[in-house]
Amino acid sequence: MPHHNLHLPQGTEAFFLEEAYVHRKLVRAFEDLCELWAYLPVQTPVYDFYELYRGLNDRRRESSTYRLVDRAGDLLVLRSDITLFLARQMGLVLEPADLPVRVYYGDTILRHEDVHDISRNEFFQVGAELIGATGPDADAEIVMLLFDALDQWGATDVVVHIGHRALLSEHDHRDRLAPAVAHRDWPTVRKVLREEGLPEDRCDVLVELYRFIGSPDELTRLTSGRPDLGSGVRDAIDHLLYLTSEFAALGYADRVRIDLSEVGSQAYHSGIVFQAYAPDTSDAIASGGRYDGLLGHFGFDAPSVGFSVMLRRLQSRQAQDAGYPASSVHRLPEGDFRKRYAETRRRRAEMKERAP
Amino acid sequence: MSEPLTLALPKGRLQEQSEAYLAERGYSITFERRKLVATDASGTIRIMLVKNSDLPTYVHHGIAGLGVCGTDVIYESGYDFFTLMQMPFGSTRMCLAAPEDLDPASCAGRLRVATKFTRFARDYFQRNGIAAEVIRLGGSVELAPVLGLAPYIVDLVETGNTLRAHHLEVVEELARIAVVLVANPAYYKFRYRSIDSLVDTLQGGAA
Repeated sequence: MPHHNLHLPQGTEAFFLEEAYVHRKLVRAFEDLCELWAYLPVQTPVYDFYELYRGLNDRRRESSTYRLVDRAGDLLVLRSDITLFLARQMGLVLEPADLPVRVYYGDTILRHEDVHDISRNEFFQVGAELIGATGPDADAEIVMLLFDALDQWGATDVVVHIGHRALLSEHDHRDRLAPAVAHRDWPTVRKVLREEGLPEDRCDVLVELYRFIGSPDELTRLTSGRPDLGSGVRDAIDHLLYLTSEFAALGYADRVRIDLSEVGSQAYHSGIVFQAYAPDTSDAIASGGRYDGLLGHFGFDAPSVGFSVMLRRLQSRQAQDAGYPASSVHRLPEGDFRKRYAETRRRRAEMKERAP
Repeated sequence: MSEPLTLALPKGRLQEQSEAYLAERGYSITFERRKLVATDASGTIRIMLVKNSDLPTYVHHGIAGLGVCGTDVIYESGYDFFTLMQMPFGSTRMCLAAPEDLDPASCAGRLRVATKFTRFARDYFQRNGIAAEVIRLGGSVELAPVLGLAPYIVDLVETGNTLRAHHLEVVEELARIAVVLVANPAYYKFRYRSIDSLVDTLQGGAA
C-alpha cells in the first residue's frame, strides 16, 4: 500500500550499513568476551506454544506479546523475552549432570510497542545465564560479567543498582507490593503492608529499608543493631554487602549501588535483582537477577542467574568510545578489481601478523 | 560543578505558581524573551517550559528528568514516573457533571460521557462496573450537554463557576487531582543524591 511505504509496522526495526556494522561489532565483542568467561552460545526459537508461558509475564508484558494461531490450531507466542524462551529450551536439553552450564545469547525480540511511544522500542537483547549454580559466588560472576561487558563497550559511566527479592518474600501481597516498591510509591507500599496486618512500627522499618539507595557503608549504618529486621531480610542484606565488597575489591566500588527498591519486575524473580543505568538514557540499559524457580516451571528444576542488555540503547552512545566508529570501515579503491583484490590480500596479511 | 538537573514546567497557570514556589526556595529563574529554556541563578536546575499535556512525554523520554504536572495529565499519558512530592498548589477535583435539570431516568442504559480525560473516564467506569460510552473532546467540554452531544461530562472542577454558567452541576466527585513533582525513573536512579537534595530543599521551605 502506498501509504505504508515509508514506515515499518510497530514492534520491529531495520538498520543498515554503518549502523548495522557498529551493532555487529558490539555483538561480536560481547560474544568474544562471553567465550573468554567459558560461556557457550544458545539460539532460542522465534515462537513457541503460548500456554507454556501463561502466568509468567506481568500484565504489561503480556499485553505487548504477539500471539498467533498455527495451522494445527495451537496458540503460539512470538519471542518477547529471551530469558523465558531460554529457560524453556534449557529445561528440554539439560540433565542434572550437565550443571553448571554457562550460556550467552544475542537475538531479536518481538513485541508490540505503542505507536506514540518509541522511547522503549527495543528489539535486540544480548545476555548471559549461569544455570545450576547458586550462592554469592554465582551471583558475583554474573554481575562481574556484566561489568566486563560494559567496560568492553566503553560504557564505563554506567552504574548498577542491585537489590534483593527476598526483602518481599515474607509478604503475602508480593504481587501488589513489588510494583509499588519498584515505583517508589511509598503511600501504596504502606497501604499494602497495613492491609497485610503489619503494625505501624514494622511498616516504618520496611518503608525505610525499601527507600534505601546508597553505599554498603550507608546500608551497614542503617541496618546494624536492628534485630527487628527479621532473619530473611538480614540474610538478604548480608548477601548484598558481601557481593558489593567483592565488586569493590575488584575496583568497581563506584559503579555499584545497593538499591532496595530494585525488587525485580517479574513474578519469577528470586534472590538478587539488578538494573544498569546510564546518564543519558531514559530507561535502564540492562537488567537481570536470579530466577531459581523459572526452569522448574518448565520441568527441569535448576537455579539460574543472568542478565540481558538492551543493546540498541547503548549503541549510539558507545560506538565511538568502544573503538568501533563506523568510519573504521575502510573503503576500497573503486574501478579496478585487481587493486581491490591486492588491497584485501595486504589487509589479510596484516591481520595475520597482528594475530597472537 | 555537576550538571544542573533538568525540570519541565507546564506553560500557563501552573508555570507562574511553580516559578514563584521555586523562587521562594532559592531557585530564581528568568527567561529571556521568547526563550523556553533557562537555568536558575544557582545553576542547580535547568528549566524547560512545555505544553502541559506534552510534559509527561518530555519526562518519559528523559529530555527533562523531572517535571511538575497534574496527576490528571500523568494518568492520561499512561507513563510511569516516580512521584517525589506533592506541590502545595494547583489541587483540584475530577468530577462527573450533568445539567441541573437532567432526569437520570431519561439516560437509561449506557452512560454517555464527554471528556478530555478519556483514559481516566474509561478506567473509572470500568472499575466501578458502569457501562459507559466515552466521547473524546479537546476542550470546552461543558458545551457537550448544552449542545446535546452527551448528557454527562467528566472534567476538572475548581470553583464550579463554569459549570453553573452552563446550568450544570456536579453529580459526583471521582478523584482528587494534585500537582506533583515527578521523575523519570532511570534519571532518578542515576542522580538520586542531587534529586533527593533538591526535594529536601523544596520541602524544607525557603533556602
